[in-house]
Amino acid sequence: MSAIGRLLRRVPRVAWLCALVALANGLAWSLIVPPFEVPDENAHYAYVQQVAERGTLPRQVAPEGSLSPAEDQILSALLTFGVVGHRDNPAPDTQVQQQVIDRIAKQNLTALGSGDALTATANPPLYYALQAIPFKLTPSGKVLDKLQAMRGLSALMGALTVLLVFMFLRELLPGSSWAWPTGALVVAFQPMFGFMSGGVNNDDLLYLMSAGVLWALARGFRRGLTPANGALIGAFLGVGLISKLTLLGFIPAVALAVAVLARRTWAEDRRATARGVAWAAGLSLGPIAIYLLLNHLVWNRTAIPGGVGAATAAPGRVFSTAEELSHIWQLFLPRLWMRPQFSSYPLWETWFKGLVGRFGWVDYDFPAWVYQVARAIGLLVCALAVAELWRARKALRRRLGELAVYALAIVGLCVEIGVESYRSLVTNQGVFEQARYLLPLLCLYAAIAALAVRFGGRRWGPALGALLVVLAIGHDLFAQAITISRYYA
Amino acid sequence: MRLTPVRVVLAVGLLAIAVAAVVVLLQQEPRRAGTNLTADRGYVLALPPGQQLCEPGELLPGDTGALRLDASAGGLPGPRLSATLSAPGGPVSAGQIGGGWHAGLIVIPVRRVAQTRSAATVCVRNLGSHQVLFGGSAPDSSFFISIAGRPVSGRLRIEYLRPGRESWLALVPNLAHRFSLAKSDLVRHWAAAAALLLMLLAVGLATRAMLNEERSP
Repeated sequence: MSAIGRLLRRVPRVAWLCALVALANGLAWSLIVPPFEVPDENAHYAYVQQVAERGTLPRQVAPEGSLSPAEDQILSALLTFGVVGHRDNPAPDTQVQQQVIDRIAKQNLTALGSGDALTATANPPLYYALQAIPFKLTPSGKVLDKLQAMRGLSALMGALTVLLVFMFLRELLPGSSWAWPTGALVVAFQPMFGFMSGGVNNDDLLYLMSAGVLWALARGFRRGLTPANGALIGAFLGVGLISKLTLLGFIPAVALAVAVLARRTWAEDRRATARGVAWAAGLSLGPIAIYLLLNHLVWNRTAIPGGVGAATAAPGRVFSTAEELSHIWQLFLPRLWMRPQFSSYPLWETWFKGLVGRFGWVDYDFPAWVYQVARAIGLLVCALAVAELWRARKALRRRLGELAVYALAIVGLCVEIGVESYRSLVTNQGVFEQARYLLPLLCLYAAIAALAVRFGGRRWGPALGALLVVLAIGHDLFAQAITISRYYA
Repeated sequence: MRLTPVRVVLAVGLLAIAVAAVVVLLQQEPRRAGTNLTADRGYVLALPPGQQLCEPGELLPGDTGALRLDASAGGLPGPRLSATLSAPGGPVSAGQIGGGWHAGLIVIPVRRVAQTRSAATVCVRNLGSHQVLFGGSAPDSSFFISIAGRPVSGRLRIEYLRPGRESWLALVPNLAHRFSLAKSDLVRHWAAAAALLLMLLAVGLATRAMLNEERSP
């Protein structure tokens, strides 16, 4: 039996059950949300279309080019931009509109466009290369059929994400097997995650790879930096970086983790430790290095298009490092003495309310009372998790290095989002930040739930876990109900 | 079967969700038949007293029993308004709202329109003695309406309501039909049932996972 086969056999049955839950939920979301109503789905579809039809990556076309006659006509027939951003406008709801869609689908319009993929153009290609498989395998040439098949692959990525979340909890809290499914299921029913898993967006592969990185790190802390564990860390980070550059935010945490782990095992086995470090570094940097080279030599794109580096400020705006630092701080934390950068309080408005649920192209959400209830529940769960950490403080002291790594992963991701947010503000006065950008931290979200459950002990913990899972189910179903009401009622 | 805390929590919790779902499904409200997908950017269209506003190119959904408009009479009680709906074959429906309404969303009941009609024209006449402002989009480069016989670049936002008040439960067949539109041919005829079954499966598997782990050390 292969190594992968042995590894898969070691995955507990209940972990597969949790992954199946996420798959079913993601597929349900993929059927509920109308086509192109997941953020930037038109752009991500265009990228896949470019990869599948022309075998090249998209490039910026000025002025903004057409996506392709096939896609543009369907977007128009779906009245997409009359629905996106207008919460009172439902999806097409008459047979007459369906006839227009059918007529366009029968025209066999070309899927070759200008080569522009709008906001997705600058992204690395891995997710799109994978999505080119269902795109090509879909027998009909119809845009909507291909999109649905691609959504299926995204749902599968969501399921694998939950599997890795489960495996992360297994490494993090090895003595509390009854807490693992709670954390994994709370993620599987997280409505924002379900909504994204049901759409075509490279965030889906980012979530999978982020969960993989955190699982590999937890595994390294529990089992040591063996060459295999080093390779696992490096592979997830490396592949993650060519899925979406947001994962750059995890690099400081991974570097710290590898340093801490290497220091631990250096004295015992220098050779194995060095190999572990080499695998981690090589596999982390290899894919992104190849991507940069191909960008330069083959695809004729800038080194990291739209990723890092200089951007031109809009007229009347200048980049200021002090303002950027203040912007990043205020994006996540209370303002203190600084000059206001936001008209609202992003921690509450953008992150908390967004994670509880703000769907579509950020154009519909829950009734206001839901966020108040969620805050009370969230605070209670966090309090239980903190109480559990306090109760286990002796063990925690021995794992401070590991805790610091997870904290640095949060900080790194927030800084990365903050930098992008500031760039967007200065270059085009745009609002970049959306709650879904925090979903690479799903493992830590699950860990909070699992720690809270652990506080209940072996006697009450499982019941507390069941309560959290029921709340998550209710939350998810409610989110689907407002989605049905938004688009179909 | 032994009654454990996990089983009790799961049973009570899932029952509570089911009860909440039934309560929501039974709530009776006016329900939408469709909209004209026009953004309401404020009171941008003025209709003088005694004049008529006509909006061509409307897709009039079947089962329309009323028009919902955003209107204001500038702080005064709203005047009487009449609405006429016509399609290429001739008049389709008409109705009116009495005076005294307040600014905001107003509903003009009309005779039920059975079938969806394309290229319909909706006209609203101000039967009062002072101006009424309507919510919509103006100027709007893609559309022209006529106000007092003169063309105006813009569009009135119209929501078409079904007759009376209905529960979600009564609307389920319509929702299932709408669910089948504008989707991939691979899924559209069974998407609603599949979404329901997938969620039942998800809840069932989650319950099983929690019960399994209850027994673990």
